[in-house]
Amino acid sequence: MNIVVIVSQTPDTTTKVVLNSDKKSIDESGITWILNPYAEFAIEKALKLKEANPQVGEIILLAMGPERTVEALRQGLAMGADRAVLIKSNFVNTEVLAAKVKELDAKLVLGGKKSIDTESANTEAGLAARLDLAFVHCANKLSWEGGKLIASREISGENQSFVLTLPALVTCDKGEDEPRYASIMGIMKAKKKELDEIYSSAQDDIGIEIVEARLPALRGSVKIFDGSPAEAAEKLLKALREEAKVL
Amino acid sequence: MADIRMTDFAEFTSLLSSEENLILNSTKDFVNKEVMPIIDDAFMDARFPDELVPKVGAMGFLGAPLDGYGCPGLNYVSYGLINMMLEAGDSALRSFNSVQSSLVMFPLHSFGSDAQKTKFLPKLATGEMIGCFGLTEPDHGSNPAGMVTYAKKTDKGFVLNGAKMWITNGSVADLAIVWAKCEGVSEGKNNICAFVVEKNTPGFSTRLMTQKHSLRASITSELIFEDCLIPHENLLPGSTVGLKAALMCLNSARLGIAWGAIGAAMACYQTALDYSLTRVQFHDKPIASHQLIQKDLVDMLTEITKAQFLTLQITRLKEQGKVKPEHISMVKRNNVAMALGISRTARAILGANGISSEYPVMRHMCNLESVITYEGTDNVHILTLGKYITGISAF
Repeated sequence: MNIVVIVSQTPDTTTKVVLNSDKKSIDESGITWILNPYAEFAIEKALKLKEANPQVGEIILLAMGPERTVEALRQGLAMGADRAVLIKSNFVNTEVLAAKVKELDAKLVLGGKKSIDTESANTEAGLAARLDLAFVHCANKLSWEGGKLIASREISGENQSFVLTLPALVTCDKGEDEPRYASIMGIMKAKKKELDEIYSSAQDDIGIEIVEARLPALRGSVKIFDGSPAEAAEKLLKALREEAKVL
Repeated sequence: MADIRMTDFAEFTSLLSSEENLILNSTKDFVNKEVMPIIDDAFMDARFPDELVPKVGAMGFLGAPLDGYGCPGLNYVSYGLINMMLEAGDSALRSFNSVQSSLVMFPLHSFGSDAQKTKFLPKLATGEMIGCFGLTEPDHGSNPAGMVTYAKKTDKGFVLNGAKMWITNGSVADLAIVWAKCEGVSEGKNNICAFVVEKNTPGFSTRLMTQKHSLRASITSELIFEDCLIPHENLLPGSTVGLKAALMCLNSARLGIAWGAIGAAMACYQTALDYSLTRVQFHDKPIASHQLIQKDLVDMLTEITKAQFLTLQITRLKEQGKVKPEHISMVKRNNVAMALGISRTARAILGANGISSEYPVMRHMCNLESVITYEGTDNVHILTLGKYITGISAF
């Protein structure tokens, strides 16, 4: 039984976004790309599921993205995944991904609950629909119980648990699973692990054109009030009353 | 305490392999999650955060450039990147790694017997054992050839007498690599060679050096040897070539220090940049809008960028077997002086807040005052380079 983890790459949260002169696209030259943290949580959960169940065969990472996505896959391999597949493309197509998931003989597909760049959570939902899989969104805990998968999530302060008969697709939140580091030994082992890079035959034209990109308006200057918390709070109140005149 | 970030103005990381970039980012994540939350308290309390040792071992940082015996066999650029991000956290952690990797594991790996390698290296790699390196003496710092610690060969073993000072990790070390004069054994002109001295050996004691204003999260100790009998097999057989064996260890460590200093400089620059963008003075404008502050920030970024590329090139030369000790003198001297200057400027940009432990800049500044002195003072590296380019020794 294989577990496939859908992986994506996002800009580091500290990235300062700069637009290209075409005003439609982002200048990628200064961006540090990282493994989407929610995909990292999914990889960690997959590794724990494998450690807890000898019936799990391989953990296979699957990504659809540009060449640079290899780095995110290498990080996942260094964490302990067995192999990876990159479908090279400038956009994500769930039809292509679904065909690959079938080929990889996955009983369980995991992914992040969202990507941290565009906040989108479409890929996994689209994939579940195309593959007609049971689908749980935002699970913070996964465990085995008698060969079935228990997926738990928090919703409006309550916990919900689902008993899933595989095959299924689950998107992951962090929960209590702190993702393991890519250790030096892990990174060295990852060099030797299989990473297939294939080209997508899907059309680039997905019927969407970016007309204009704009940076959000600059926030006003920031004022920091010094002193103890009580003193700072007093100064803040005074400024809200006398300078901003909002109180 | 803000997370550490990579400063990469001129796409330095584009010259790194994907594994090297992965190591850089993984070390950065490790430092942000494990080191940053505790390091300031450790510094203020003058406490070595020994809880990090097994974690550093599990990451594979210890002895990273060595092959076999549980070590990963990384290239020297990777070793440098690890040191850079560790020191962006704190010089104490990088010092721990430099000593363990370059001054303890490297001599065992290069000059040790098979039995010594098998016994010590795997445990040093995991952090199960800690090592220290005894070369400097109370009266012999820049001139180690003048050392007075003496090992007398007897039928039962070597009898060591003397003292070593300013020894990182000394009081917590399970073993010390101790350099001593030993007539009839060393083939070097100064009769110097190295021995493994394990803790609890009768006649071997340590004294913790306190009252430091620098490297407060690091252990610094004196090692004392009083008729300390050690077995014959504790001599490092390859070290009988003399002082040049010790200098080989120092060259490896100094390269790591050069990388580490870039990390400390990046941490100070990023702190100053963030602070200047949020600190408002005069006309409701951030101080980053002031010309003098902008000049300081530009100077910092320029120096960091220059140091990154110079250090990368010299480390690639080491990987190709072409590096000269003078190359390493240049980057150790340049980078540490650069980082110390940046830490002082950053301290000034932060004004009164610059002395607060809420920000890392004064901690780095105090640490760098040690780093500019140890492993060859700034002046000694000047004279090493001066001798190289003129052919005339000034010392």
